[in-house]
Amino acid sequence: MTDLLAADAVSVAIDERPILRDVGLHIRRGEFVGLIGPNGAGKTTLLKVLAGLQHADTGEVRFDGRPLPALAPRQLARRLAYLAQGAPAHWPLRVDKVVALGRLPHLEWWQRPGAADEAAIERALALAEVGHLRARTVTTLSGGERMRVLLARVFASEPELILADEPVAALDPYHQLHVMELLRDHAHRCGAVLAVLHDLNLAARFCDRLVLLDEGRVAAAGGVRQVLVNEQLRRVYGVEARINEDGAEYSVIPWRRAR
Amino acid sequence: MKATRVLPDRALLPLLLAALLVCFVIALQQGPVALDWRQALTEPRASIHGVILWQVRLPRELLAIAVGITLGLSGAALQGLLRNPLAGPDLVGVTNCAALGAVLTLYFGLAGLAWFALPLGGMVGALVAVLLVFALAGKQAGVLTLILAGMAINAIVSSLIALALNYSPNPFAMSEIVYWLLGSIANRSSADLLAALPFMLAGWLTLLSCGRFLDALSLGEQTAQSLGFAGHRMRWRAVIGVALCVGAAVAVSGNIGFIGLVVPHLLRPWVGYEPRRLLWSSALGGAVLLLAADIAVQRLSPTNELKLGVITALIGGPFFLHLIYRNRNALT
Repeated sequence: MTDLLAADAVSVAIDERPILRDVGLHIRRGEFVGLIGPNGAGKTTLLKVLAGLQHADTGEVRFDGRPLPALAPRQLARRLAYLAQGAPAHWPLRVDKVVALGRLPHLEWWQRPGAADEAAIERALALAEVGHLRARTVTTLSGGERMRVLLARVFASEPELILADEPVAALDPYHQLHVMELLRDHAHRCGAVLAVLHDLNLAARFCDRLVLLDEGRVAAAGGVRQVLVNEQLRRVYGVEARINEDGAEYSVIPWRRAR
Repeated sequence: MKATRVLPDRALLPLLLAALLVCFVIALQQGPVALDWRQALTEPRASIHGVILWQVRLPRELLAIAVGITLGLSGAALQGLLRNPLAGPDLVGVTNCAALGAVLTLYFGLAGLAWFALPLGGMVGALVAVLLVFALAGKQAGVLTLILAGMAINAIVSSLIALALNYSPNPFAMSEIVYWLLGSIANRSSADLLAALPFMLAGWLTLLSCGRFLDALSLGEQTAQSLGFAGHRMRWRAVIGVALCVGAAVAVSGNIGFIGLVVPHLLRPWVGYEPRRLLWSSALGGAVLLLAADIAVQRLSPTNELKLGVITALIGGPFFLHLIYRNRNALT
């Protein structure tokens, strides 16, 4: 089976400062991949390059076997959705209107939203469990509710691949678990997910595979138990961790600074 | 937040259209002569009432509608584009810069070269202003940066206009320019209207075609792009749309301020803050407000007519202060 998304030798420099160096990455259908790494490792930049929002200086990104520039933006937008970091909402829009924005890639400029779009919006609201918030104003929601609404917007596009930049940052544990479950279910249902994560435990529990980024390079990639090992964490994050392995469960507690 | 009832388009737009028609008819009746409608309609050319209606009042009020649509629409588009409720064609310097373009066209005697020379001058000026604002304030402009950028542009442009006045060939030309700068739609002929209308129409269509992009933009630039909009191209499209219609409008009507700020702001709660819907309603709302202002102008001082730009500024200035007062916590 071909990779849904594949990046080869991607390098990006901003103001002559290298941000990404020779990064390779691939995501198969059905996978929930976590992108981890310390602050400033280039995770957000990599996500933007993979979403086609930023050009790579060298290297190539292919979606379903075709290079990104060969795909029309709207065509790509129907199959790949991007959840921005912090996910701002600039106007006090109604929740269902925000979710409806996810249908924009499916509408030609002369078309009005039809029954299929309404159905997709309803499904997305139900999927993210925000149906009861539909008449609320997005700017008055709590952080957890807002993230789920924005996730519903992503679901409304009915994409195959979701690229999410820190989807659980600043959420309480309940909402963190909720959002991670929603992303995992999406990956296992029909598509794939690549999410930037800072919480190593959530990454360990929910992701099928991890990619560890360090100073613009892929320091490690593979299964949770191959990536989240003490030697790696010390080298990349500079922390000692307590790792608990209990049958199928694997958890990592960063314990003290190592340098 | 105040709970204003959100109206669907099928209710709001007919409502605004009805208001527009009512204001239009009332506006046509203003003036020193009480209009005899029967005579005006049956003998459009032969009777004095016909001439007054068809050659004086109708071009004037049609121009009021066109300029009103332009200002309301471009205000809504700029606010959506910059995601900033305090943007407006005049506050960011677009109106003034368009005026400078037109003044220079007049000053160097270029206006007579072609029928489209004056609107073209206005459009070039407007384009320069929008590009300057973007360059100065950047894409992610905060409220303060934006207003400061607009202030700086306005200051420079005002001094350049003053320079042109300073060296104007004769007092008559000078007073001509000054009166024109105050903003007025009085004594405009249908030729003036027709010279500007094609460009305004083109600008309106361009701006209306940006509606969905502006909707997507409410989730930020990156998200809009990820929803399939070529962000860079769409921004250019909006900028050109503003330049086309504001440039052409200002070239005919002079500097009529604050409509572009006030109208979208008043209508935004009614359309549930959706930028695309705001475009359509602000276009109609702008026309209604400008017609209303024109009625007021003719009622208040029938003999020595008050300039339209003066009255919109008198109403708009305090409104702007009120906006700043209400948003003052978000400004710092």
